[in-house]
Amino acid sequence: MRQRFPAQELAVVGVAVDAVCAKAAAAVELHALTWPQLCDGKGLGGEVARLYNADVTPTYYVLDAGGRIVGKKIEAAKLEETVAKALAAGAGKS
Amino acid sequence: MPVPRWLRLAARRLILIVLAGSLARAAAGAVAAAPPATAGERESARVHEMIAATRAEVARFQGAGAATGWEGSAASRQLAALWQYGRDHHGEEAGALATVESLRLLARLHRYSELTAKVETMWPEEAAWAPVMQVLLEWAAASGDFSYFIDKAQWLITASEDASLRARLWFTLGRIYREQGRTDAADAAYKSSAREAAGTPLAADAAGAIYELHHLNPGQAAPTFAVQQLGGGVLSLDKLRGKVVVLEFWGST
Repeated sequence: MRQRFPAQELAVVGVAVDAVCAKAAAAVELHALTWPQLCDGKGLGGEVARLYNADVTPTYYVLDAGGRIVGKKIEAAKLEETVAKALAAGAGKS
Repeated sequence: MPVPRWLRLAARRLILIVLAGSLARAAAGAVAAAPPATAGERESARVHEMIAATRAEVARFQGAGAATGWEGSAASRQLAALWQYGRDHHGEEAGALATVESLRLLARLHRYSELTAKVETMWPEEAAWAPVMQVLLEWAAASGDFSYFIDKAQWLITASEDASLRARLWFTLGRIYREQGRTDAADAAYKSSAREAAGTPLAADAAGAIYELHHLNPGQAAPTFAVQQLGGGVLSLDKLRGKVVVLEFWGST
């Protein structure tokens, strides 16, 4: 998905809900993930996980260009479609 | 009258022989059969045998295309026996297993009216309720009709003395109401769950669900944050304004 949409239009942010950030960092390196990753070492009790009430992994949210939630806890299979819709809605407005 | 020495010796010898024999038998028994030690273990072994037999019979019935008719079939007789075992032992673990498995098999056979008729006869204090409600929830999710589950959950909440069961039922009701768009009912259900589960991890989950109910809906402003990034630097969500953002919560384990 990262390859399908241009970086100036779509930002992907990973939130690693690991109790040990070194493990998350190793996984990021292993899978050569290029997008920003957050980790505070508090697992699902971490700040961002709590802000979004993420209680399982993976959990996905999609936010539009105005910072509003457009996809909440959606399935991985619906991710591309939701992003495409959000991008099209944004392009329609500008 | 003194006992003659030969008789004393003979008696001692006889005792030794009997003792040795029983020890040998005990040892042989321990090696060979290892019969279940407690009554609970014996019942558990028995109910597992009944469950396996009932499953096999139901699979045979379904394999035959359910052509022979349910009433009077070997599968229905086997299932009735399993259910009856659950009735006769409804306060015990083995009985709860039998109860849940008979209902699960009825759901698999799509015999819903029979299933609900049986559920209606259950006592509020049965140990089987948590998994039975799970069976009803799966059936509701598959059919899209949650009305029976909701009725039963509400009844059980008033009838059961098990606070942890009541807390879990309230939580599930909250989720169902939320998915039905009934925000107020969901809010009240989650609050009841938090109250019943006070001091347990479920209470924290309920608090999270209440927060999500009011703050994390499509169309609402996404909560902002500015936090440390792996590899250094701070990432602020506000800086990403103008872009569509995907937040992916993941774990390496």
